[in-house]
Amino acid sequence: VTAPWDRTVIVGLGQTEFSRNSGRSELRLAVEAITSALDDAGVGVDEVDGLSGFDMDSNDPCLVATAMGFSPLTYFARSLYGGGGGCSTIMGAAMAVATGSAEVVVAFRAMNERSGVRFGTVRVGDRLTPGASFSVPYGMHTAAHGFSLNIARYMHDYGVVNADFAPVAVADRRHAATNPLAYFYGRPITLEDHQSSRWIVEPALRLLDCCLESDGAVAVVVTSKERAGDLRQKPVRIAAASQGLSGPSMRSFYGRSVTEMPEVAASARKLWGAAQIGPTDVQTAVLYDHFTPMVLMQLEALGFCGPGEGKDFVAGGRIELGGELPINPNGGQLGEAYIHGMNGLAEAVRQLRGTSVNQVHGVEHVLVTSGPGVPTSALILGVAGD
Amino acid sequence: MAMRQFEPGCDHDTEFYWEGTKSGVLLVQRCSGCGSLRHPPSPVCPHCQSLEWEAEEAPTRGVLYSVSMVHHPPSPFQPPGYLLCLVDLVAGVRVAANLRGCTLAHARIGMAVELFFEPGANGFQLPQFRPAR
Repeated sequence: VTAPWDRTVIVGLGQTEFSRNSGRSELRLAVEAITSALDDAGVGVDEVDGLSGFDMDSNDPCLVATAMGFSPLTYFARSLYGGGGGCSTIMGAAMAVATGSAEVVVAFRAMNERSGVRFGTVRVGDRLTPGASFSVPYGMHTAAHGFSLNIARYMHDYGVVNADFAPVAVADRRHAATNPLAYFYGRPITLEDHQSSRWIVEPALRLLDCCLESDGAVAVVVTSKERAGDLRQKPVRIAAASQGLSGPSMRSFYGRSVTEMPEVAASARKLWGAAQIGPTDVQTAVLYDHFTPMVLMQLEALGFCGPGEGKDFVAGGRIELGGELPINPNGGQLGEAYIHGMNGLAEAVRQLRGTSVNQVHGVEHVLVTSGPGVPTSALILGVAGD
Repeated sequence: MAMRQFEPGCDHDTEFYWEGTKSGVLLVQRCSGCGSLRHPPSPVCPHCQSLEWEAEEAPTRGVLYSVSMVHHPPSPFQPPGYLLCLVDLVAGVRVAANLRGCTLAHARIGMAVELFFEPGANGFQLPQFRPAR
């Protein structure tokens, strides 16, 4: 039996440069990435009939479709929960293609997150909303503030110290150092650099535990396996896609345990089941790394190791190129750029095409996750069969 | 820099909670259907889906469940060096707040803490915690 996902493939990739100040509008960034993705695929602008965006993207689908001169679209959607929704954009696109709602769907994310509205800054309106009134008056503003309480409890429960998170930062920066597209190209760090970086929220997060803030855009073209036959690129198979929602977004404090990432576990069960593979069957993984501790906690929720074993899993170069499971070979969101995970998705596609500058050998399946700690999503991509 | 004064935004579901702070009590919801407690406020019981509930005063002593110290970025509501915390007051009731009267180095997960209130605008008060005396 062929899963519906198996009828869908990724055939185009496009992006802008990643910077701290793009010097142009978010609409312009979106248009550049989409144009480059369509060109990469060898698909005409008039063939696009679906558009899959992000809730937090300032680019309304109508605006993008109009600007691009698309013909009328028969599928359009925006994923939910910011960085949790990256893989959701591909999931939606694949569902649209599998059902025949659309034949060529473009997923995209464009943002001036560094030169425009920075997520790492305090943004409070004149009046607090009812929901925010339970956290903002306490000085809980950024994602780092909110997640710090989950992370601090995790550290307490499993005897983890901040230095245990350093291998994730070191791996990301090592990979970025050899990736010319990365913001931190040519600038690796050591475990000591990590430990001497300033605190953001003690004892959970130092500066080098936190992702970049970036300007840039990424676009991906999804179509059917049949349609891919006469296109320019070797197609990448969408082997499975899933989502998980459990508890409040960013403030998952109120359950029994705050350290288990139930949204990731739910998404993972669905994902491994649909793809009919397990953690040992992926050769590299792109794990959403807004904060390094969340990579350890994800590895546990995804089934790569048991609760509290994340620190041993990431230690000793195991997640670096040449290690047992290289993670974020593009440099991740600490090293390459923070485009709500869409740049990591692009790397997963390159790994399966065999065109990455940090190519892992023998890649058959790549796991991609979106932001945990909020309602999340995930993908398994594979080499296309016949 | 002068700290911004706290005033909650309320809706039909949360008004009882913030009104309670005006008289110095932390109110939580007890489900009339199954008797379970819940916080933060919600119109429905997540265990039995009953819409009926009574407000009752939460215990004023609890156990520190998690704690952290914010270094960056600074908050308009808090002086530099403030601690964030989660406190378990009673089964089903975990509250997010600040931990006062204690440094991060002296804060121990599992230690006993007690509730107190800090004044805000228009009579509203902010529930807070400090080490139990």
